[in-house]
Amino acid sequence: MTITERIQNDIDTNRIVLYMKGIPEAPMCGFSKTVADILKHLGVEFASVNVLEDMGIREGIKEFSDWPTIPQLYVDGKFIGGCDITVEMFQSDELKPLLLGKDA
Amino acid sequence: MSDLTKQIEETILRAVPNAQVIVRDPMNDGEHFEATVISESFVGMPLVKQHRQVMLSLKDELAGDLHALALKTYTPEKWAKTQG
Repeated sequence: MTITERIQNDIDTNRIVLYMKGIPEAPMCGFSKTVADILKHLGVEFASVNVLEDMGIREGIKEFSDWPTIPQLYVDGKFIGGCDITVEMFQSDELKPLLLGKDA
Repeated sequence: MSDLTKQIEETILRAVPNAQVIVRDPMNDGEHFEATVISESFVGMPLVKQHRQVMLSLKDELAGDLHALALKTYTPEKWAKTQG
């Protein structure tokens, strides 16, 4: 599988995917930690990909999303944004309905 | 104002037409920056597109010394509201 195929597969098979530095229990960057903490706070299940363990994914996801930084949040196969956008959507109560899906 | 602060500001100004740009280096470490970008061109543009436009313009800086940029984008109307 190419890097692009792996990313596509990850976001197709998991409703919520967080590309981050480190893991949710031990984030390696404050911005990754913030997004992971928000997802945990909202009580949603999410898959995470530690980009520090895979240089190919680390660079590949930036190309894939056309977005130059980590973390990156995907919901229902769609790129949502990085830390600032996630925080802003959380504060404006837009994030929770998005994460819970349209049936919620 | 440090060189990188100035460079970030100029890069954003080139990428976003008629923008007001405020760049800060709050920890004074030359690595973690904050930028506020206000532009009429953001009207009707989804937030993710506003951010992408700014962030992609800084690709070279982000690959170098700029470790992190906390970004806020506003339309003039939205900015006026934050100023109470």
